[in-house]
Amino acid sequence: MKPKNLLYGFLLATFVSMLVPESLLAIPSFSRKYGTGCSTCHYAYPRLNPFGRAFANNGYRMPGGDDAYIKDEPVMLGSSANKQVFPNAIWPSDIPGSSVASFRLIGRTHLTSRGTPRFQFENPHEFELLMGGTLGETFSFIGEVELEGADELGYNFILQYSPRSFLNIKIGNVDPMPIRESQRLTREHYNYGDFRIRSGGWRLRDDAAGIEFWGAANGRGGRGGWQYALGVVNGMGGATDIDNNKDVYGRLDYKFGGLGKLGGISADQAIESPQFWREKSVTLGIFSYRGRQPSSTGRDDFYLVGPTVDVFYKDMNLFGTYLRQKDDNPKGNRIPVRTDTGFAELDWVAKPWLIPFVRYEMTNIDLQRNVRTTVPGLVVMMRANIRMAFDARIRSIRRTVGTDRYTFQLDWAF
Amino acid sequence: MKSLLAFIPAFLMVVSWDGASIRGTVKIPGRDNRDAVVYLENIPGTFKAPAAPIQIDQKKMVFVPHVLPVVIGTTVEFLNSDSVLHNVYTPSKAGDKFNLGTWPQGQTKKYTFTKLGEVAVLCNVHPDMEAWVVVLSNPYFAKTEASGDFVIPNVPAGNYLIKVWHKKYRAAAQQVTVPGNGDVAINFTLSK
Repeated sequence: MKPKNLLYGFLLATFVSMLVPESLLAIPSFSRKYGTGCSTCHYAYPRLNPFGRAFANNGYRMPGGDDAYIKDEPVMLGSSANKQVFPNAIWPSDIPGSSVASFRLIGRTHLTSRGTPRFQFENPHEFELLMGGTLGETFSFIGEVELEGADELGYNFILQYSPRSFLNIKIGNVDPMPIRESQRLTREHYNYGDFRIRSGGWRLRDDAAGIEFWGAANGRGGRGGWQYALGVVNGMGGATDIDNNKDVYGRLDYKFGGLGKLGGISADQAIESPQFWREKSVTLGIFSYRGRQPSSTGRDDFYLVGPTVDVFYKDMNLFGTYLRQKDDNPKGNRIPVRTDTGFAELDWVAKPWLIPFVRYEMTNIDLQRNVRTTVPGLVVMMRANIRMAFDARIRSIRRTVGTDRYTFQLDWAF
Repeated sequence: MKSLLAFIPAFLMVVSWDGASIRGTVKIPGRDNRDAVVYLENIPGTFKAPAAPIQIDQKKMVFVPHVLPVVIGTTVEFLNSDSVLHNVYTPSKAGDKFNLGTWPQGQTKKYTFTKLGEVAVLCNVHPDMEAWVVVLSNPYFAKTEASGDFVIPNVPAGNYLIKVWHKKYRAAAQQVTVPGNGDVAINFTLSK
């Protein structure tokens, strides 16, 4: 075989097996920027605590004023007086003072109930190059390059413009999910994200290049508040679209109690939140996605809609969603299919370093095939940046090869 | 008149000479020399804590100062100057494992230190924050700056044990004889 064909073959194999990157997760470079530990924003990274969510909602800046907390001084790109000179000067900005690169390394060990091999070491499983930071007063960015195995490469980036808290614009690989993947403690993805109406078809957690408009505001007394998102994406996964159609999605939620969506601390909140993972709040939301994917005889127009709930109480977090999906032509026979998916998960911070959890998932395809899955597990924070996790996927339908899976994962970030 | 003139030098001796100073340097090879506390033991007498509280601030997610030596009975006031929540608690027995709770910007909470010893002060919202309160029996102590230099002024004459506290490094205690007036030099080199 000619060397050129070999090269093309290698490149094709690499890109075809391109990963669907994880949604952008905990970024140690923020830890360096502020000289603070992971638990300022996370518990059991990448899970964000209430303050971490407010930090993200402030364009990855400290609520209440960022400058006072920065330990790593940025490099100015034009002095601030250039604002007075604009439009006869470029609007001034800054870049992070030191490297924004961070790393995460993941190793896994699997055991499945069926199949060959049943037991497998996968160490290393994945290498991630993470980056995140702010650019000037109104821009911020998050990025990730992921290498899994020898030939699976994935990457995604977001540039965000935040002129006002109620209007932010995100461009890149946006996150059209009812509950963000960055909240996931388990190796197992949320069922609604993994579900495909047909083999090889679209799934919600696929790569979504597009644009998102979003905003947030504190509620009364600086507590809770609302948040919305409206986005347009290519659909069909990957950075390259295959048709002129674009998928659209929307999210809206309201948080009752707890820390304000944009931060802001009252004395009452202080009393309720003695630890970094705790608050008392209830967030109710709704999510909708409308899209189109090809089917064997043309196209399948579909939509998803459903509520979300997120409750923090003492050391526990209970959250979940229920989605109704309707496809009008998934099998090419013009027969619509209705699918219900959803889950509820309960996490308990038994100790700051020990978080057991259990998730119960339901997928009901066309009212016929009902899959129930239980995902119990445990996260152990050996250190703030060294995480050990065990989770199991136990399904109600057991005849399929590899139905049940048990995974031990060890990862660390710096 | 002559007897009055004779009295003046004696009077000046009483009011001008109030003890000697102990001066020296604390060195930690290869490390920053600041935040070591040099103090005297076995000084007779009863020593009152200051009437006004001494402040430790939580600013830019750091306790300021990082190390605070105090006389037993001193009240320390903890201020939150940040726009984020902070908490103050200690796992140390010398602090009776107090937890002052969590409070927002601008508010203060106080604690009076009534036991001798070192008290680690932590924030359970930001586990990387740390301060030390070193509770001592008398006011004859000094904290080093980056150079490692220290001065303990106005020490009454006598023989004492002089020690160094550091959160990580140690040095053997030394005997020091303080004269009625003048300075005494003493140095320490700390190690693990």
